[in-house]
Amino acid sequence: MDILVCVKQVPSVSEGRLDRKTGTLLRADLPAVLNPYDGRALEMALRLRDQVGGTVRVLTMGPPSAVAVLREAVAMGADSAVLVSDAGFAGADAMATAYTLSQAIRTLPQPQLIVCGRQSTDGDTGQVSGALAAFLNLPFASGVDTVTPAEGDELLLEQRMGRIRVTARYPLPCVISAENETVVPRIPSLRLRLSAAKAQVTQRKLEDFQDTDPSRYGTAGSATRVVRTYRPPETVGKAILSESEVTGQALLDLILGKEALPNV
Amino acid sequence: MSNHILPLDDAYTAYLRDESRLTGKAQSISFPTDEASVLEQLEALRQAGTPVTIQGGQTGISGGAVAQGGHILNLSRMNKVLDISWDADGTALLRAQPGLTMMEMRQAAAAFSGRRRVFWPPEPTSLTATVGGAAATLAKGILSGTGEETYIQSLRLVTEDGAVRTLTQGDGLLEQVLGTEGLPGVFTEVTLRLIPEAAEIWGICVFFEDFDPLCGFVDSLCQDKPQELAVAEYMDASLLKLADSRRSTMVRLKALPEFPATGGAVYLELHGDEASVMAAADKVLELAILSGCEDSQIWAVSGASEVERLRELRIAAQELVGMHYDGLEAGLPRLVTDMTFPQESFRDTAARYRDDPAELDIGCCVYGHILNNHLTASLLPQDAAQHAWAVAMLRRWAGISLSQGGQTAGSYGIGSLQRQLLEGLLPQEKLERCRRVTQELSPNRTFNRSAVL
Repeated sequence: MDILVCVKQVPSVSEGRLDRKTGTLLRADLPAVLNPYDGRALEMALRLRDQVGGTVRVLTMGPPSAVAVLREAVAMGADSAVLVSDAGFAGADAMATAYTLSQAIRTLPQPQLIVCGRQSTDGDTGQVSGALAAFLNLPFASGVDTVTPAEGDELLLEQRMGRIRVTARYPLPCVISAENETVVPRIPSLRLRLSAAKAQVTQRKLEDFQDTDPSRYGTAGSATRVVRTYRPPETVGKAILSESEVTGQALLDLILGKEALPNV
Repeated sequence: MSNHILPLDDAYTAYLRDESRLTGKAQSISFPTDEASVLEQLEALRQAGTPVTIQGGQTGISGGAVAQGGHILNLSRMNKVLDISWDADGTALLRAQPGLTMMEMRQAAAAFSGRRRVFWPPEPTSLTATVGGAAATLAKGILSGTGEETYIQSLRLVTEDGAVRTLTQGDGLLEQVLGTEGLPGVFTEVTLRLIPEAAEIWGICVFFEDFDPLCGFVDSLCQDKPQELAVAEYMDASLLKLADSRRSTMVRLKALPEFPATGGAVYLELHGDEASVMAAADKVLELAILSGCEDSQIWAVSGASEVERLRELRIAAQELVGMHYDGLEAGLPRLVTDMTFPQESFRDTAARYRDDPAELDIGCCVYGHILNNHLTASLLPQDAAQHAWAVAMLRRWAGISLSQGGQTAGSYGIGSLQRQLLEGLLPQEKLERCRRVTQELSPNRTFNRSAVL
């Protein structure tokens, strides 16, 4: 099975500080890492490949420095890597990102399965995978917990939908968004890490795409723009209920505003 | 008496212990916030003739922070960074109050360091250890290497007479006071020297099925050591199995995949520029393969974040052992070695630490620095009887260490625990230095009376 995994380079959030005025993450000088959700998606793809055979290709859209996460992915076991990079792609929102990725994917041998992480730790939208599927006109499954090959050109997917789990058959090719919190990504072997440092990375720019209209990409192609990210203000009034006071009715009344908040 | 000196009632019983699992007693406690409050409180205690035990993060495993009567002076609220200054070569001098934890120190350094991070080489593995405690014991973590440099530029010391001294590198007294475990007085400021991290850092963990090939790998590594080798730590089979059993409950370990082999492991770090680190990594790969390892048994990560992830396995050792002691009957202190055996090989020391406890059916985890053969054996007795046998074994090992000209107590400190366990077998040079410095600076032995001497 030929699998393509979309990955992203993100700031190492665990070391980040927030700008006190704007509430935005201060990214400058933060080490960049493979988006942890994409790491789990990649692990899912590698396990599937190890099970049924085939190849895993990784693809990322970003500045030239994003090649680092591709090498990380190759070190983990991906067979090849594609860097989608062009000055015109900068500032892309989720939709423009998905369109860019779809155009890049159309220049490659068509994969049978495209795997994305649930979301990125910086953008947090969780929208790119679904939009990508729409642009590629492929079936899309979100919240995929496990993937099992089925007969014919199908996959058996277990999906988390809130508290409900769904098992469904999906035709290939399709796009999935992986959501398995328990998967622990493998740590690369030293040999693979050494060879990944020298691995060839395929490049894709705007000029390689079928659609070279710059207004479809980057800031120009974005339907949304982040104005500000901020921590919501703390709630002024709080209700503190002791265990003996907590009943379903009491909580419901509080939420519906039928009860005034006690003075605390 | 100062109204900041509080009676030690039930609210403060947590301050009667540290990670040695010894429990002490005290009549009062205080939490000064600056040098002025230290001076005020010490004056009140001096008037009352009260001995004082100085406490930092209570992470020590030698009982140095466990009071046996008197007053506890807990410095955890003296945790401010006072100043950071930078040299042209990227070195930082960080001046801080003694209660600053290693985690807080890292955060402060990261906040001001920009793209090129700095670190403090002696940083202990416990991130809640304090700067003052590390200076008092000359603690050494996995990044400390084999050198003697302390990376402590200066400190301010308050002695029992209320005098405040500034001790600086090169003045002779600083080097004498460091590592004397609080006996001469209270550190109210410590200035650390932080150095730039290497441009490229790789973490490599080599897992072995068996002890013999692991020893072969260590031998070849010591003979052909790459210059870029900054960390070389051993983790024995018992530690790996203990880690496996606790994997689901320890956050540190959840992010690690299943170990490819559990006969023992060697954790390495290569620090340097990209080209030299890759060449060194090639060398390590060659040595590991020659020792019989498969590719899947050799993990490798690069970059600070990923290296932290792999370091967690080695750092988890103390926590794993602590969990064992949590399950034992109260009053059984932790039994840990801090000895060197200069006349023998890694294989000999590791084998002794493995075989002697096994003969008595006592559990033991062995880990520690490979390059200077400074391994730690954490004994895991199941009950009081086994604990007594384990103490006897510790004393026998200490005798062997001394016969080889080794040290029987080092960066974990002597405290009150090692003082009791290894009476008559403690390093004389350190005891002499502690006596001399204490006699000079605080001759009434006001501070940490139950520790060391």
